[in-house]
Amino acid sequence: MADRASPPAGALRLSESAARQLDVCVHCGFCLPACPTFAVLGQEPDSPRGRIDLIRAAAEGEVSVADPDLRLHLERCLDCRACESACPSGVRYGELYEGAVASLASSAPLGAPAALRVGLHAVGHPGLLRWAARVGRRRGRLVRRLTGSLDALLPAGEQPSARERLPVVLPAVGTKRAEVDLFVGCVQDAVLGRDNLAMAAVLSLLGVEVHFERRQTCCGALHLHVGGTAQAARLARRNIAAFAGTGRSVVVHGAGCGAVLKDYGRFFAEEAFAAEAASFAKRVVDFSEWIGPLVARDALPWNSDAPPLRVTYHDPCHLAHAQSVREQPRHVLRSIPGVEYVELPDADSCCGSAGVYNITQPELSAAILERKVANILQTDAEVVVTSNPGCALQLRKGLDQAGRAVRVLSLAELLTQRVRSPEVAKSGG
Amino acid sequence: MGDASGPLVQQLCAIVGPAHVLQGHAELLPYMTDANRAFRGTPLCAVAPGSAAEVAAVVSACRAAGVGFVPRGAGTGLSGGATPGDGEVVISLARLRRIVSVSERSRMAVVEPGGINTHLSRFVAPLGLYYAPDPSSQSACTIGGNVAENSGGAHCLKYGVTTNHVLGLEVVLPDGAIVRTGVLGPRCGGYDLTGLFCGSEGTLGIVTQIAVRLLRRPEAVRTALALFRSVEDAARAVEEVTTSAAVPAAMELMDAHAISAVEKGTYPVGFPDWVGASLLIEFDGLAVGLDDHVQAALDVCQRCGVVEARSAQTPEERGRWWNNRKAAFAAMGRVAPAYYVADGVIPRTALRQVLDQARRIADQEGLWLANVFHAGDGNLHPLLAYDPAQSGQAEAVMEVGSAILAACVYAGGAVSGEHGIGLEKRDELYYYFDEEDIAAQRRVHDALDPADTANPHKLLPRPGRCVEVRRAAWDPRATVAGGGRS
Ligand SMILES: Cc1cc2nc3c(=O)[nH]c(=O)nc-3n(C[C@H](O)[C@H](O)[C@H](O)COP(=O)(O)OP(=O)(O)OC[C@H]3O[C@@H](n4cnc5c(N)ncnc54)[C@H](O)[C@@H]3O)c2cc1C
Ligand code: SF4
Ligand code: SF4
Repeated sequence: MADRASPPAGALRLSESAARQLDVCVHCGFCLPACPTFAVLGQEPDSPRGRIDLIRAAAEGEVSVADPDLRLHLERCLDCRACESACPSGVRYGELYEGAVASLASSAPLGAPAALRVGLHAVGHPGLLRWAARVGRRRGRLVRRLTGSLDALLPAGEQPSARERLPVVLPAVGTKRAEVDLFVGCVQDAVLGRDNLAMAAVLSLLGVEVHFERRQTCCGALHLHVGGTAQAARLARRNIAAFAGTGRSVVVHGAGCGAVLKDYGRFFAEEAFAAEAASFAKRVVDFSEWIGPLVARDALPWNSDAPPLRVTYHDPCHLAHAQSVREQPRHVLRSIPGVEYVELPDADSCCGSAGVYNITQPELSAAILERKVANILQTDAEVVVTSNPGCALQLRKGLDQAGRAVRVLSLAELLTQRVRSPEVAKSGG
Repeated sequence: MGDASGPLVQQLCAIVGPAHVLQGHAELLPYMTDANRAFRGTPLCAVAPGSAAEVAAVVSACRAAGVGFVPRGAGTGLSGGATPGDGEVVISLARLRRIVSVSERSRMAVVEPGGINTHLSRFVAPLGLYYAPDPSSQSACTIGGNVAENSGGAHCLKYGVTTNHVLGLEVVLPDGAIVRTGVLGPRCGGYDLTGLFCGSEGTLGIVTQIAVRLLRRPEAVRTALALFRSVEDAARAVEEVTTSAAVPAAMELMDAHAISAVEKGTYPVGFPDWVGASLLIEFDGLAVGLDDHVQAALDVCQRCGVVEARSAQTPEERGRWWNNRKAAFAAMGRVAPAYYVADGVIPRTALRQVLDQARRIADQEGLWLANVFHAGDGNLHPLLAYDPAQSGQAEAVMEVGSAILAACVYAGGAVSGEHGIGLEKRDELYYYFDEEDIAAQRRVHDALDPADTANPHKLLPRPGRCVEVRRAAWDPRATVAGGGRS
């Protein structure tokens, strides 16, 4: 057995902390049933334990980094981290996987199509991405100024950008209880800017002053998934600098962004920058985590005339598995008057979107989505809530293909539909 | 075999479809071991049949080629049962996972072997039913694997092991014939083949369907957690509770080392640091009188020096305690890169003595030993931490494990409680069987598998090693393992 401390030439290179995960895994197999790719394909190289075996062998030089089978089975991984939640030993699979993929990417580009990598370049440049997302949309209709009411903040059928609409400071409605920083993400904002505006509106209604720091950029999640560690670290530095010194909680609506932001400490674990990164990471909270206690105290002006609604919830992997945030969104949903909450079977099983997975592994992604849609339909829900733009797009696609009229909403957007349409930020106008 | 392998793989591809045959070295890595990484073999290929007929065709092809085959469920086995010999064919049952039928009236389900233990209970839960055998690995292991290992679990103290819940089987015999036994057969009568296949570890064929008994969910459950200063006190409590009136449904003991590992794992309970041993005691059944049973058990604990004891106040609290217990083996990963778990069963009256001996044997060799086990039925699981990357360590722990098993046998017990014999403990059977006992078992084996292609080299000891094994056992530190292990 080769020594991982001095890997043989041509072997996979892992950071010390990633390599340690190989030792933490005791091969018990508890993670197998949690893995969506194992469920669909039924073969162990496509299971978490199997992938760990592959990575171990590659790190020890038993399997070549050029072995196409190694790449195939790693590329099929969703990086959904359901295996982390299932692992009694506490293996940080995501760290191991991302380390392995980064090392593979440095020896030869991974299977991601070239166009995708170009796309990822754009992700680091919010303006470029927004432009791409807008293609085909009529720009003229965009109202650039934040006007007074919630309705104007969220015009129907419009895909507004929070970056363009949010003021630097959105005042609290009523007495101010707190101040937060908003993290809007890049894909999140370009594709579902609506969610970000809804989040800002809900926070403001809750009496929170919302700050929008314009120098923030992409969190780096998509880069990490295809092995772009260096790129991701550059983005992380920019974000940490952007929020430096505000001392406020950084509230995020996108699960994928939240997971990566909370993990910034690890990015720089071996550098002097570590403490700063870690203290930034500690300030990051998911929207549902942040509002949970306030919603419970009935701090929102619920609209008691809103029609009854049957709602279910799909756990985004990067919220449930990567951040262990499971109860809070459910708790918020159960608190909404008129909402009948039904639990989704296998709610925390990946929908197959997984960053760019639906582009890199279309067939597998479709098979995984099919299972998810069948489960959603089984609940008879009118609305499925999820808090990640990738998941939302994927679920919408699946439900459309199935020809079903189940609506997909983010938590923030559902909340805005269940409150009395108030005067938002009157004093700010 | 080398010449035969090319055509055999082609044949297998024709049977199950090329997408379900893996043969590259990298792809085969996950199939080279089960949950016991001390054993490893490189198979010729791994195939995943999609029906019993395909299983039969695969098995026949292997037999015709004279190549051994190894059934594989989830690979959570701990005795190397699903670990292939070099050049053998792994037959994964992962695709055969349907729940074929559930009959609420006769409280029975028919399932395919690759289905996961807890998935069945989850599926029948709306009917108020469940499948009782609950190995700690139940969230991952397959019912086929449970049948093959005759697995037990925490609640087997009251409900019995897998064989007590299997009503009938469909089995592909090593010659490719398909037989149906018990309730799946035409009628009863003749030999109890169902019983024979339970615990046969894939050496008599491959189970392709299982009829299992379902139980009604007990009306009520009470769970208590008792904390002791020493293992000795806790073990005495086990002895006393089980001899007092009501039999608990489960009684699980963890010592300080095991606790230190689980508290670092995914499901910490927050044990105080003075705890030398914890005892998880559960009663279930009719609600009436249940609290009295719990109180009676806690009174006994009181006499045995319990320091702190409490009942679970909510289902969540109970769930936390059980998750903590069930994660115990896997949480060893927080302590060492690998662990070896011995599996012996002893009379409860010998608990204190054997636990003490085990501790001393491990101490002598400077090994880290943790105990977490089904105390109620005297099923010991001494866990020995080691690092497979350090040469000689795996062998050393297995020797110590073997010596501990010898201590179990001297105390009137046996070498396998529930994890099976596999590759790991076949020679230790000689601790109490002699060559003639084994020869009788081998004749049964040979009648069904004369060509020795069904999971070869597992379960039965290698012939002619009886004297050697027994002599070594008299000196616990001598090499019991011999050169055959790897
Ligand atoms: C953390 C942990 C805790 C555990 N706790 C317990 C416990 O409390 N109680 C207990 O009894 N065990 C326990 N085990 C051991 C193991 O989970 C059981 O032996 C389980 O029954 C194995 O099931 P499997 O599907 O993983 O089978 P595998 O490991 O894949 O195979 C086990 C054996 O069964 C054979 N086999 C598998 N499927 C078939 C089939 N369809 N037909 C014929 N033969 C077949 C294989 O060839 C092999 O010999 C534990 C294991 C771990 C890792
Ligand atoms: S559950 Fe954890 S320890 Fe067990 S095999 Fe999976 S990753 Fe390894
Ligand atoms: S991250 Fe998801 S897809 Fe990848 S191994 Fe873990 S459970 Fe499977």
